Amino acid sequence: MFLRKTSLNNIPNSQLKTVRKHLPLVEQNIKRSFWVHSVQNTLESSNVKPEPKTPASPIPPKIGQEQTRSDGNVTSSKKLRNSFLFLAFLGLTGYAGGVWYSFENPKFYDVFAKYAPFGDKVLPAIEHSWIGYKFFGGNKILIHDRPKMMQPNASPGVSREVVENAKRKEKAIPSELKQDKPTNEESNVKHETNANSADEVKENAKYAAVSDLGLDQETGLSVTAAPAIAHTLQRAHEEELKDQTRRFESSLNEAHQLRVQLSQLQEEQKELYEKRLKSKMEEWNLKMDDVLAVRDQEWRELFEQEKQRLQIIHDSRLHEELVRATAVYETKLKNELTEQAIEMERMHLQAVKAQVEQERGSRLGKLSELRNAFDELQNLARSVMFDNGRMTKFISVQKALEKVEKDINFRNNQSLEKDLQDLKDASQEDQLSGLAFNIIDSTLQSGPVLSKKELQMKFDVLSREIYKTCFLTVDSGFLGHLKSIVLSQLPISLFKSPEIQSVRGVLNEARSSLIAEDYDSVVKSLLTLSQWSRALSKDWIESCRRKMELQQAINIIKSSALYASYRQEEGNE
Amino acid sequence: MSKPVSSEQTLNYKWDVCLSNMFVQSTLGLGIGIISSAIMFRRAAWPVWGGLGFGLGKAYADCNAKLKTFPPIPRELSPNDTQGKN
Repeated sequence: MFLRKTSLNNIPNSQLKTVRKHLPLVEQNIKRSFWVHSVQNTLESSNVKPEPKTPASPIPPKIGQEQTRSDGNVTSSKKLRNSFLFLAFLGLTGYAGGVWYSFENPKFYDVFAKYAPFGDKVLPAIEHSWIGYKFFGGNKILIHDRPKMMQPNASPGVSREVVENAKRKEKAIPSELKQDKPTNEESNVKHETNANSADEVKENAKYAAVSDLGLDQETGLSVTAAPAIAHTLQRAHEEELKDQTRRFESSLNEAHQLRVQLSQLQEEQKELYEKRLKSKMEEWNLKMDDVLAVRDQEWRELFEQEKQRLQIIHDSRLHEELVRATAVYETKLKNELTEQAIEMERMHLQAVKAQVEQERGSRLGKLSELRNAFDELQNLARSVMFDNGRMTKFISVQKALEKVEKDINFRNNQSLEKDLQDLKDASQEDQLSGLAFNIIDSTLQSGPVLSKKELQMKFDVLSREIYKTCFLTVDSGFLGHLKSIVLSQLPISLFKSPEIQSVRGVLNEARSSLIAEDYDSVVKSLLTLSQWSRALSKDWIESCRRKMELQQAINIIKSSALYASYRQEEGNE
Repeated sequence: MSKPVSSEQTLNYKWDVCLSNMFVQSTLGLGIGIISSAIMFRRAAWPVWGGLGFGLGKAYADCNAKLKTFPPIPRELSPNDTQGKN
């Protein structure tokens, strides 16, 4: 209240609003500052000389003294009541003082707890309540160095988590690390700590009395240091840190142990899986061996069967061959035997004849010889005469044929007709010759018959044109033909295609056949080429055919003349 | 009447026909293009090129068709082929 009044007068309106807004904070601060001030007052009261005491008016009137009132009417009941009140007040004051002093002096705490009525209950209750925290330093009362000393329902200055951690830690920490269990001296130690904390508080309060942290940013009130609270908070924080480090250490140890266990498990699993793998591999290898053995057996059986079959076939064939060969040899032998027999018979007959001749004195033999010689001579004379006649005719036919060929080669049409007529006259009039003459006429009429040289020249032109079409396909168009013309100008050694090489080979073969006058093979070679080649070589083949037909007709006439001469000879015979 | 062409010269004859056809048709196309350009299209260049292109294209197509065809050749010549000719 004192602080509020002084501060409110100096604070502007805006700050007043914030003050009203944060009134609970203000009240808290006021409470704190009030407690601090109370401590401060107690400290100052010890150092500062006491002010001269003004004679204090006795609060309750002394017993026995009667207070005269204005009305002057003091009854006994009132006196009794006043005295009772006075005693009660004294008793309460004394009890409160005792409570207060018990928190100040740890020794008196025990005495008070022991002898004062309800002391053992009141003191802990006050200690754990807000009054103890506010007025009697609750944060410094309950904090102990040993974790075991942490009590439940601690003062608000210490968190419940810290207490619970302390309990857990108490269980986790081995007995070696534990400090001595609290004994009956726990209360003494607690009072000692309380005393120490009280001394510290006093010391801090001394400093606090001097130091001022300044104004609160929210409320604008001056905030003085609370060293005791800060100290206890710091100590609590340190304890908490220590607990956390111990917990983390324990968890780290556990983690290390787990890691070791995991690695062991891993190794065990690895060994197990390796063993399983080996066993599986062996099993599958055995299976594979079995399968391979079965397959080998099957193959061997098949092989044996095939071998037997082939052997049977071979044996049968061999038998057949043997039978055939024996038959052949037997016939040969028989023939030889018959020949030998015939020869022997002839020899025998000759020997007999010779003997007979010898016996007849060789007359008959001479006569027969003469007769045979005469017959031979007769035949000879006859044939000579016939050949002369025959050869004369044959020669005339041949001469006429030569003339005709000459006219044809030189295209001498004027003498050709006459020579043909002469040939007709010279040759025999039979069906074959007539056909040949017809062929000659039709051939001459169909077109010019080229000579060998002319055919060769034409063939050279044709081969060039055929080579240009080497690179064409069945459906080559403008571009295909253009490409073919361009590529045909390049040397043939650049092209490794077998088709092109074969065309070239065919043309060379045809040329060589043409030189040898084998027109038939030339035509056959040209007809083996592609469509374009055959189309281009059509006229040349036509002229070649005409030449061939003419040649054949001439040969027919010649051979028919020869045949006719032979027939004449037989007829004369 | 034109002289009959021997079979060796068939291709050369066809090429001659193709080239002359190409020349004639491209000229025709060019002419038509020039006329149409002068009359209808305000002397633009594109009808001329178009006409020329049409002409060349037509000539190419004709040439292509000509070169792809040739008289059917029998596999073996008949024995009396020459007897019927005069």
